[in-house]
Amino acid sequence: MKRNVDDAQVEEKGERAEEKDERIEENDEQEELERDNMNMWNMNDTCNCQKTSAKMMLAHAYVPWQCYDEAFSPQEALKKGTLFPSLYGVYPIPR
Amino acid sequence: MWIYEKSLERPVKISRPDPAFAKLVITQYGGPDGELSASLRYLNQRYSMPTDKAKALLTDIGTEELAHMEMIAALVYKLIEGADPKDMEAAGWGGQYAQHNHGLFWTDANGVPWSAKYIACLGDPITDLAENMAAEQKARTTYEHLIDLTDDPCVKDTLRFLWQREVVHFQRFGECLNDVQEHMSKMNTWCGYEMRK
Ligand SMILES: [Fe+2]
Repeated sequence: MKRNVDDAQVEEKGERAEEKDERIEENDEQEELERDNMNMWNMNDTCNCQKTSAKMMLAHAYVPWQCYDEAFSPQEALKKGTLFPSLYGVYPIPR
Repeated sequence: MWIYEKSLERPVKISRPDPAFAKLVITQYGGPDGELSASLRYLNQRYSMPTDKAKALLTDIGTEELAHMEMIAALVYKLIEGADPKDMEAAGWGGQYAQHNHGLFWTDANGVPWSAKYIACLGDPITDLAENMAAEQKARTTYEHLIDLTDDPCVKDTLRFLWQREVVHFQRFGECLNDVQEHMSKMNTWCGYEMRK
């Protein structure tokens, strides 16, 4: 599932990048790489902070718990708006 | 109590003044899904949250939204810096000049003044956290629309930062909702009071 979501985003980003100048394209590519390397959906089996709510009830909403496994440098975090690679790019980044 | 830091959460830069875009981005100052609405919504809802952790989260995010309001204010002010009455009128913001000169005022992009009707507090923690998650999504979408509406890369950069913060806030409110729902199902409590059977 993770693979499909990543592919869909890469495709969409690809289409958008056509309209932009080369420098922005390079940034996009770099970000694709970053995103490929990270666990966007916390589906990783080895993640031990995946404490699902004790019991999920119908008609209630739940958000997956975040794994605090990786961090950007403070400078990068201030630039991007988050310290956490796992929260960067979960929605397509507006250009 | 608050401690004021004499700097913006993140520096705000623009390439050139643009009163026409100032007229649009003002909605994140005083519009329904803007930063004032967000800040007051969270800072007001924290009293009826059932756990200290939920209260603390609302305090933290409500405080950060105040810092975002300050960034938007700086952005609007820079975008109209040096604009004379004719520039303001040409940008469709003659009414703003007539009433406020270069001062700021809390309105949306159509000039509708800020209203407490934009925020809610039902006193039910699940209901209120669901409202906050919706509010974060609406703010995220508004930032996407605004980024579409400007060509200035510096302005886009500032708005993209604020956009990303909304994504983070959504995650935090979602985790808070997980917690609060679990707390309420275990403790049989409702808004901090023992539930009557
Ligand atoms: Fe927010």
